[in-house]
Amino acid sequence: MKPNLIEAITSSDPRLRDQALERLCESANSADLVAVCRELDAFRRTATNLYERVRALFFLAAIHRYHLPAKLPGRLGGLVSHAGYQHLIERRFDEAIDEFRRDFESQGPTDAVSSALAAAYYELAFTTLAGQVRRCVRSVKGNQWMFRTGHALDHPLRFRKELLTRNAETGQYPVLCERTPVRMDLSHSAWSDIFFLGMDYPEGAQVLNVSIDLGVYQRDANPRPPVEVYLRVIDEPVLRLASVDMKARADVETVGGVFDFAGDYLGLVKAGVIAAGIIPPGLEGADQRLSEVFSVLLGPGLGLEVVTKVNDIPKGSRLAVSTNLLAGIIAACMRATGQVSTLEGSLAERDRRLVAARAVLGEWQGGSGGGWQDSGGVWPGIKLITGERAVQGDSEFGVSRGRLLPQHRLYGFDEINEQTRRKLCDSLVLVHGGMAQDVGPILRMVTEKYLLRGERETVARQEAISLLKSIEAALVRGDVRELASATTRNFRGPIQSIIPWASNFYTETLIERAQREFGENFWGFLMLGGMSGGGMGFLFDPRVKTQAQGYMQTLMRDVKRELQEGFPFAMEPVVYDFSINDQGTTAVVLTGADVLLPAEYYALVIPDLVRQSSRDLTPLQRIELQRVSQETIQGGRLAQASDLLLSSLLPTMARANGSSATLPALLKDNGFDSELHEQIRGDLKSGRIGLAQNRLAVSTELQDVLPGDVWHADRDVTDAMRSAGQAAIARGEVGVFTLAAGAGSRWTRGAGVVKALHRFHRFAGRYRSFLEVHLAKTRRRAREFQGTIPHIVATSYLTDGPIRRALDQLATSSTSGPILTSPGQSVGLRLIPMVRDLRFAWEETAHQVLDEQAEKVRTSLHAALIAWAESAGCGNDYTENLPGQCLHPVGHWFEIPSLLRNGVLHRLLQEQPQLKHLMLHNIDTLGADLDPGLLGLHLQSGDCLTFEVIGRRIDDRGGGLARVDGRVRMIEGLAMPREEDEFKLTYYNTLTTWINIDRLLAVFGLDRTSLADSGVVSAAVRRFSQRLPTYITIKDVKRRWGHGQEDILPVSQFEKLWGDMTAVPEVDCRFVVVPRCRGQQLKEQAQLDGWLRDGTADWIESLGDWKA
Amino acid sequence: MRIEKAIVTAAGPNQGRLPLQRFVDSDGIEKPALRVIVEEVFSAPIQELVIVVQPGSVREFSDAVGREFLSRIVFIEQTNPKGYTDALLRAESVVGASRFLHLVGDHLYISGDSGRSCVQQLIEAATAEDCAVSAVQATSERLLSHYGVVGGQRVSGSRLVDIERVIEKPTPTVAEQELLVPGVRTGKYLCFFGMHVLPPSVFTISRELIERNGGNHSTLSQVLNELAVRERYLGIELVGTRYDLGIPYGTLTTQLALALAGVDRESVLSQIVELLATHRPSRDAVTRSD
Repeated sequence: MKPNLIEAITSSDPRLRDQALERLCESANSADLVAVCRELDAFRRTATNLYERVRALFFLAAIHRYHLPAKLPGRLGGLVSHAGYQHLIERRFDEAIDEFRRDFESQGPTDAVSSALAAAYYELAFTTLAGQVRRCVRSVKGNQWMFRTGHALDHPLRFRKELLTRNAETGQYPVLCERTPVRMDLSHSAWSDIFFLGMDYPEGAQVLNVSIDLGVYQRDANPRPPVEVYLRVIDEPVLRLASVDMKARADVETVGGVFDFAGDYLGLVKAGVIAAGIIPPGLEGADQRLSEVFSVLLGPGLGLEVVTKVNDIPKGSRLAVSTNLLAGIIAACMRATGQVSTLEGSLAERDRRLVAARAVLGEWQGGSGGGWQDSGGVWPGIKLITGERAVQGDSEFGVSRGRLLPQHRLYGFDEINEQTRRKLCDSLVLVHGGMAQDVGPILRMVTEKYLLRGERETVARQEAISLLKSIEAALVRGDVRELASATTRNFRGPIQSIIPWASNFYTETLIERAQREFGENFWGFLMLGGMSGGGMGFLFDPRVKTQAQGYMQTLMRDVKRELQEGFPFAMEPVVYDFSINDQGTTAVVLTGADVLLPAEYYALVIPDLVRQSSRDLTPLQRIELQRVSQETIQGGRLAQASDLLLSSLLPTMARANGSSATLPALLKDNGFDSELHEQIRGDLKSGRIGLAQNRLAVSTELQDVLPGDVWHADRDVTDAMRSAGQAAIARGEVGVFTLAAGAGSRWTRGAGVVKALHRFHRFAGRYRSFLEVHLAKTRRRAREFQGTIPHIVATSYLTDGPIRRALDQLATSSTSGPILTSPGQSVGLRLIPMVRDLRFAWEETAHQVLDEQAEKVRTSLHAALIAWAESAGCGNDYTENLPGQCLHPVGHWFEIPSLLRNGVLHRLLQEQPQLKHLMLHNIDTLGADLDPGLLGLHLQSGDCLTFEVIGRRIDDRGGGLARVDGRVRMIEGLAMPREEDEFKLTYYNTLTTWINIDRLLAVFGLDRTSLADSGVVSAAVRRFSQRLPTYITIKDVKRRWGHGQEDILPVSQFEKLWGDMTAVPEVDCRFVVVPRCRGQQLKEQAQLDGWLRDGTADWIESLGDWKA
Repeated sequence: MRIEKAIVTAAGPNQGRLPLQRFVDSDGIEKPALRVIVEEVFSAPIQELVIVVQPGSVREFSDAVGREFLSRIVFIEQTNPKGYTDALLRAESVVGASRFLHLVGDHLYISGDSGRSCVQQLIEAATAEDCAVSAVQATSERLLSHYGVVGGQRVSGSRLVDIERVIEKPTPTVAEQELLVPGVRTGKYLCFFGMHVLPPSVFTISRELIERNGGNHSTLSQVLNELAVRERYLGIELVGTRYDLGIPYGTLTTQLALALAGVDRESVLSQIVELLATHRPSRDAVTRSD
């Protein structure tokens, strides 16, 4: 039955409007859904209401992603047009949709084209929403003028005289000091603070938000507003920026330099200066010097200095430190230019709203994106922030139901009394768990689910709204225990109903152990921000809070130590002291002898100043040096910081246990081949190898495979094959070879943790790691067919120790057969990339274009990274990181040679001589298991290798199955002669391979006997390896520093890939098409939600034996 | 009620000697700015004019005015000055309980209506509407820091604006939120022209505000903002242009405007062309074009 989705979108009746898509599509067949897609596409092209249009887009994306493919059995084929893909990555979504729709109409509905349409509709929906928010930000009254100020002489602001008057005695300009608390949300009603939600459903957008001061437990004497911004006039016409936490400073001399957000660590400060109107956004692109702007704003020859400090509060605190820092910068700048009414003290309500609106603008400018409640620190105390209906006269009216900016209602002390506030502080242990994850994908998932009105989501959202009322009521009654119960119910119920990924194994372990330790005195858990693992709250009986703080500090440190090999921790966990801030952002003007900046600022700038000749210093700099000298040496207010200042001036000894000491040892221990390394460096520098050289010659003839080139698991596997497979398993002829040597860099964006050990999802009620999932499947098959199945895990320098330790814990419970590790025998040392390779990767290779502002940030970042590569020396060894991050695995081809060289296969064959076959698979191919039918097919063929492939979807980039110069083989994406060639290929490589051990040994020139001779094996491997291509790749590597700060740097490395075995003439290969759920690889955490929703997670659960 | 009295304030600390600056007017006659202003005032049927000046400057200012009008002018020295509204209050005893015309001493006006001066246009409107009226001019937001700015609703089918708010030297942020007037182009606001017809209640309001502010004088904009709350108060966009002598290059622009609107137009134009042809900026000079 064809559902009436347009009625569900346009109806004013909530019973019709709030129907879940999955329910509406339940009884529709594929023809119905195809017809509905046509209707919806026509509707979204003509709909004038923005949210109706967006809802139609999300419906279309979901139908193409989940509902239609499920009703297209056997329609795996289909090709996505390259032209459409090109439109998609260059953000021409409408054109991409038109192109894909043409494919859809001409080829009929296919999995491949539906995946492309789903991606295009999804991106268009978010782009439409983001565009609307931006338009609203620009059109907010009070912001508009900044976009039309296009020349310094048009600058309409003037600095306040108070800040332009030098002190008669000291000669210094006054300093405006803004202090801003951060915000903590007691409930965000299921992420209702996302702009899109608040603007569509203002009635449901509610947040209980508390402004707090912070201190680090046992470090700071008292909590204080963590954000400090210092602003003053200087006697040089530059914009001088400094962030004492990032230890970064810069003198910006041009307007263009202010709009360069990624060139240094001061992007957020620049965004604040821009959003405050000091350098209005309208000036972007004006080829002017800041001296011209400052001449109008301040007076000839003058400039401005902005210094920020966040009291070492680390990234990922979920307390919106960045947004409140931005708001603090904006508030200070707006005070200085008279845009808000008060120079000192707290802000009036209208001024707070103005600052909040500018903070939204600043986040847009800087390419980041905060929530609608995040500038809550601007306001004082405890407040309820709610969405507001747009009314006639609002720029949002007629476009969205809600306004861009919410309403803030402060709770008076007559509503939530002093005692309750104190009790809250005495009960809540606020922590940073040490994880700093990107919450962006979660916010997208929430938005999509809200607009699809999933049944579970809708119920959960209503429950979250009613829980906010419970939390509010508990606060009013002064019942903090009930509040803790409500925040826990919120976390256990609606939050995880909507986004299961909001929790994780680390958080659950902390809750469980805190509960066990404190019993009745542990009152509950509070999730802060978008997800747990970073900033979190644990509520205890106030009588045990001091004890609980100490306990949590130790607990988090211990659990982190247990899990850090599989979890992306960014820093050591921290416990905070906090208090409620009842003033909001406040400012004070420091004059005369009070003009002093933080000691850390002087530690940052003084070394440069003392290095300069006195003649080169400005008069103010000379005065400042004298002041610092007085205040430090002569026992003044900087006396206590004298060590800090002294250490900034004197050289420090490099730590002996630094990275350089252990790197050579690691290289030696892991089979680093320095001769090969120098050869690769030479080839790279001379241009013989590189990204462009990875490609096959353009004369290569590349075609899609023919129907007879592949087998199909769903139709070619017979009962006889299944029986043969079962018998082989029962006889112990088959083993599993899991590739777990890689770092899973996309999974944690280069954090260098062991992906195999990441307990990412609950299976059978418990969080399990990738490795546990694979072992559970092996266990199940062994039990099912009563066989002994050896399971070998390929490891590397990065993963070997952690995986061995994890296996030691698991092995005792294993009953399926031996579990072994196969340590890698080769390792590479990363190199600083060549500029030509970086340019090739960023400029000549098709890549996803970001939205306008984010693209500008990325372009600026690329320029900075190219400058870094040049200054670090292209082609030099990359050593400025932890040793483990300087090494690299050399590609999965080497895993089989390692298995031969490390003796593991030899020993295994001796212990289990009947072993004849291995199923090789990647750690992230969760659906790969010892399917007896596929094994039977492999057995029957007698081929050396049977590769599993799946029908390609648009996200499956990186090569596939092709006829290359007539031979059916796998071809890597790196080797495609032309990028568009990949779009000719129907099938994608899952990497899962059934291996006939004896035939493979023969290919290497070995047999079971010769495996005992390591010299013979090594020579055979070296000989064979020369027949395979070496690819140069650019990988992102994360370098952590400071307090949770991270740099992501591109490095060059080389690899040889397993799929190239199919190109070796004497290797007989067979290719079999398997269902997507079997071959799907989980590369990024953002895939998890779709993986759960399309039923793959449940299917994988059904494959395992979870009883161990 | 006829408007017969006028006040010109020329005592501001920033005005200095600007009212004494000499210009060649549109008739080609050289005279001080103050004389031009006085002629503007007496282009309407004003009986008596009070000029508030800095202490010790009466003689210079009366010389500048010229004998022709002296009999109808009263000079008041603003000893111990306390601001703009203080200057107006000094003239209260002369203007008494009637509406009066008020001009500032550092603005000159060129009417675009060949038959009527700017003052004539203003008095005509104030008489017809029988309420307080301030002349206003749409001004670029980059100049907001020089003027008082009004916000309100346009009176349909006229050049009048029903003033609801007056803010002194607002930032564009505030102006955009509070002072948008329908019909005024984007990026422009209605700023004071320097010419008002005010009721005697402004004196009462001024005194009340002084009391409320603990003895401190308010700006004229604050007084007029309060006036807008209490009585009908209009703004009018006159057919004419205001030239502010006090802003950078203000005297130059004013002189050029007077010359280009008068008998010496051709001669001045040819001199400008010659200047343009002769003087080029050096290669390194930054061009501060507007």
